[in-house]
Formats: sequence, structure tokens, C-alpha cells
Amino acid sequence: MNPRRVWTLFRKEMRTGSSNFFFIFALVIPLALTLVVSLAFGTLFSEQARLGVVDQGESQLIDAIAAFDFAADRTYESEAALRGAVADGLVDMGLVIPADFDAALDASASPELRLLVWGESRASDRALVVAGINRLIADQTGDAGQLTVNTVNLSDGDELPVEERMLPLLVLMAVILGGSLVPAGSLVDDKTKHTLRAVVTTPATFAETFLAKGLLGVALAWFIGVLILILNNAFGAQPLLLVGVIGLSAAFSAAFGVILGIFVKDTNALFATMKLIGILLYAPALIYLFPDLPQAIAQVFPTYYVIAPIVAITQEGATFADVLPDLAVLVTFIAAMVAGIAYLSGQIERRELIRA
Amino acid sequence: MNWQVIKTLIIKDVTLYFRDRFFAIITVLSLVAYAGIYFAMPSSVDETLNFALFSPDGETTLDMTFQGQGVAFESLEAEEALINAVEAGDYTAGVVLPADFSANMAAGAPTELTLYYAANLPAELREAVEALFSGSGFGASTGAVIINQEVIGVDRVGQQIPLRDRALPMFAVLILIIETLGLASLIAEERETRTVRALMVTPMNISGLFVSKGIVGVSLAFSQAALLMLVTGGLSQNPLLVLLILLLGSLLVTGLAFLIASFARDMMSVMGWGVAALLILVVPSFTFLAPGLSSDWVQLVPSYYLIDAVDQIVNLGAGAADITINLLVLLVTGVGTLVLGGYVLREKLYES
Repeated sequence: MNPRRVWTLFRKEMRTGSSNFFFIFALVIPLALTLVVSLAFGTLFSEQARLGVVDQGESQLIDAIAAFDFAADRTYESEAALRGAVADGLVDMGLVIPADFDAALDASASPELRLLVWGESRASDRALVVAGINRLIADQTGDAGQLTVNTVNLSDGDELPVEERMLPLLVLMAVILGGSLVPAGSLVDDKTKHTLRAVVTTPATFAETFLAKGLLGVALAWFIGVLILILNNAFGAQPLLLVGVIGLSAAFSAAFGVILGIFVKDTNALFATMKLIGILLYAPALIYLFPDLPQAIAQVFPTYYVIAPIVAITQEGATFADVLPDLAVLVTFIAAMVAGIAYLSGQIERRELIRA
Repeated sequence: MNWQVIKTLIIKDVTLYFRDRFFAIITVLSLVAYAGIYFAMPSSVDETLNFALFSPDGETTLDMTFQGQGVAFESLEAEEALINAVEAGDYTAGVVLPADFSANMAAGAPTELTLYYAANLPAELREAVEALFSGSGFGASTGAVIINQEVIGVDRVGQQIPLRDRALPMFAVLILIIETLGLASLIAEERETRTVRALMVTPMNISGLFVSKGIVGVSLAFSQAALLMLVTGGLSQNPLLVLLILLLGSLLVTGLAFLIASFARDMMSVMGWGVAALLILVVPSFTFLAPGLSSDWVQLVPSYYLIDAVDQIVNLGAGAADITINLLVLLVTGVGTLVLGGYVLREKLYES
């Protein structure tokens, strides 16, 4: 194994690979998914009603609405803008606070508030918003009312929001797509163009070629994995440990990608294989998405050991000692795959030499 | 045009399409997956907050106060049963009233209630649920202001459209687009392996070639989208109109396939161009999934009119008169894209 040759091959992979469809696919898909998740799960599946407010005067109520978390609120400049937002379903309800509202309230003149209701808003959201507004007005008028509400939280901890439960899937997709697809695609491309066979006529060995391709996968998966965590604001309290763990995950993924590339015949077969085994690769993250499922099932899948330490560090504040057992399993998987690649590269090299 | 040759070519193309492992698998998988996702999604919108109630004095004011407002109460026999049910996630929250609740309320005397909630109540709803009780006539006087409500648009309380039905037009568009990739790959492969050139020395002319490819593309796209709509009940209202929309959509995606095949040299570049086209065509569906998320520019994307038309027919019961503009836009863009794609591809074929 000659490090200089590996470096040369790696640079060649960087040049040719970066314009490859797989490279762009591996880079774009996780970023696009992050965007979709933040848009979709941030708003689409939020349980909170959306309230638009336009203040035609300078009411205290608008500050109280912003401070009290009974609805996701946003303010509008005019009633026309608010009416448009309600009609488009951008907000579930729109509250129009008249110019003289606070003065009328102080004078106990029962002022009028207009609430524009989007036709498709849920009945429960309407009830919550109306109750919330009444509560704030009661606070403003100093009317404590006769009822005190005591709340008791029965859970040990809060259930994670959907977007946070999606994080392992995003990271896993980023690491698997970048780490596996790029080296596998590059190997398949070399095979179909017969450029891999040409390696035997150069001083480079197959092991060095595979290593260079694997390293590109590691670099890409590492980069995109870290980027996804940054974009999701999920770097946790131990960024260095997390970067190291993602590096190991990237190595796992790249080793898997090289093995895949060695066995798969052409691009179509590579896509079909990824489609078929994708569900197994992503299974631990999918199980994590549904807290009601027995989480222990996930430990059967090798990629669990890719994602479990990342989840533990980012969402549970785990330390190196906490994630060490999972990392040990991950390193064992990597070592086994690297040994397999070394064996296979020797076999292929001998076969190609005989053919040559 | 030799129809016998065209027929032979169509049979050959369909055979080749399903011989390609990748596209054969994703064709079947996507159909099954979309139908599976559709049926896995909830078939109704739950717009009711369900509370467990333990009231030793048989209090009924709560029920009456929230009647018709999307808030429901179910009385349980004991506080412990209520706590267990809330912990099990059977209710949004549990309300426990003291024994003298009704008497105190009637007398205007101070009283209290205890609200139990568990992890399944999203954090962003907790203050709102608490305000529901403190701001609904119990905690404070609601006579201080008059809240006039004005419903904008069709009031769908009790008749909400489930997310799966909103997503159905998007699934149909995705099915159509996947066919774009399949047909484009088929043509690109023929260009790559130069079998197109070989065909030109047979009795078939270039028009015949496009007619056969067009029929294959439109048939594959249309039949699968129609099958999905049939399986999911999307053809239960105005089926002929839905099928017409899908047919026009198939013309559009077949034209796109011609365009993609003109610029793509192999399957990889088909995927590259195809994914770009897919992303653009799918964007309008967010308008229907999450109203207000997207801007007006999505109306420049032809698939908007396809999704909008299917949404209007399937979800809102629209008829042909309601979607005339959609039909016109789809007809113009569908035929236009088909003609443009055919022209560009023909030029590329002549060049090569």
C-alpha cells in the first residue's frame, strides 16, 4: 500500500467523481430532505393553531398574544393582508384589533374584536384560539375569574417533536447516500467502462484503488453528515465527539459502498439493490420515528450502531463512555468489512492479471 | 406511417421497459408504495380534543359550554382510572373536578380544577389547553369583549378533507413523472446503443418512431396513474374528467421525456435531468398539502393545473365548468411540450 498512489487516485476520484450524478445525488437529496422536513414538520404537522393579528391601534393585547403560547402568531400590516392570509390558509384565524380597543376595554364599554376564520380550520383550533383570547383579555382587565386551573404533567419526560425524531433518518440518509453510493457508483462506472481492468497495467493495486474510492465516500459522508447536524441545530454539547462518531459512521458506510460496488454488475443493478436493501439500512431510523414500537428491534440492524451514538450525543447529551459499547460494535463491523475488501481486492487482482 | 411496424415497436418498447430491472422494480414498487401510503394515512381529520372527566358531583356544565366546539368529555368513574387513561394516551388530557365544583360555580365562589396531561400532548398545546378552561367562561368573564367570527371560504368544520386525499393528486403526479424517467431512459439507451439509427434503415420513418414512443409513454404513464386513482377511490367522482386530466398530464410528461432524452446521454444523465424535472413538478403539490406555504409563482409550473384539477374534482366535487382553465392550460402545455420534445429529439437524432 503506497500512500502517495492512494493520494493520487483519491485526487482523480475527486476530479471525476464530483461531476458524477451519484455525487450530486448524495449531496442534494439530504439537503432537500432537510428543507422539506423543516418546512413540513415545522408547520404542516404542528398541532398549534396559527393566528394572524392586525393591530389598528397600539393595543397591549398584541404583546400578550406574542408572549402567551396558545397559538403560533404572526402580525400583519393591514386587514386586507390578514384577510388574504386567512383566505389562503396561511393562518387558521385572523384577529382584527380596532384602534380604540384598549380605551374601550378600560371604560368597560365591551369593545368588539373581529376574528376571521379560515373555513378549513379545525373546530378545536377555533375553540382554543377564542379561549386563549378571552384569557388574555381577562388578564388585561385584571379579572382573575372564579376558576383556578392546576396542571399536572404525568410523563417522566416530554416526547420528542416529529422533526427531532426525523433527525436520525436524515443523518443516516446523508451518511449512507454519500458514503455508500459514491464509491459504489464509481466502482460500477469503472467496471462498465472497463477502466478498472486497466489498473493492472499500472503500479497501483486494486486495494489502493478501492481505498481511494472509499476515502472519497468517507469525506463526502462526513461532510454532509456534519452539515445536516449544523442545519438542524443539533450539534449537542460534545461537537468533537460527534464529529468523530460521524467519521466512523462515514467509514462504515464507505466500506459497505465499496463491497456493494465490487459485487454489483451495473448502474441499474446498483439502483435496484439500493432500493431493495434501503429499507434494511434505514430501518433503525424508521423504528426511532415511531416511539410506540419496541425500540430494541433496531439493535438487530447494523446501521443501528451508526445512528445510536449520534442520537445519544445529540439528543441525550451522552459522553464518550456512554456510547463506547455501540462504537465498539461499529468499529468491529468496519474492521470486518475492510478485511473483506482486502481479501476481495486480492482475488479480483489475481483474476484480472490472469485475464490480462 | 406503417402501423404494423409501430405496433411491433410498441411491443418491443414495453418488453424492454419491463426487462430493465431498475424501472420495472420502481414502477411496481411506487404503485404499491403510493397506494400503501394512501391507505396507511388517516381517512378522517380528528378535529376534536377528547378529555377524560372525573367529576364526583356529576357536573355537566363543561359539556354544555363546549358543545359543537370540537371539545368532548368522557366521564370516568375514578381519578385513578383517569390518570391511567391519560398516561396510556387515550385522551388529550384529563380534567378532575372537586366535589363542590358545581355548587361553587353556581354560587360564584372561587373553585379549581386539575388538568392531567401526558407526553402525548404536544408541548405547544399545553398553554392552549390550559387557556381553554381558564378562558372559556369559567376562569374569567367573557363578557368584557364581543368576539365576532367571520368564516372565510367554505366552512369545513365536521367535513375536513383528510391529508391522504390532499396528497392523492401529488401521488398521481409522482407516478406520471416516474414514467417520464422510464421512457427517457428507454430513448436514451436507444441513442446510446445506436439502435435508433438501425431502425431508420427499416420501413419505419421518424414520425412512426415518435408515434410509437409517444403511445408507449402516454399509455404507461396514464394507465398507472389511472390505476392508482381507481384503487384509492379517486375515480368515484367525475371519473371521465379525472381520466381526461390524467391523459393530458401524460402528454405533458411524455413530451418532457422526449426533452430529457434529447439532452441525456445515458441513464445517469436521465436520472440527473429527471430528478430536476421531478422536483420542479412536485413543488405545486405543497400548495395543497400545506396551504399558504408556497407562493403564486407555482402557478407557472404546469403540474399545478393537474394537481389543482384533480384536487378540485376529487376533494371538492368540481365539474368540467369549474376547471376549464386547468383543462386549457394542460392541453396547451401537454401538446406543446410533446411537439417541442419531439422536435428537439428529432433534431438530436439527425445530428447523431
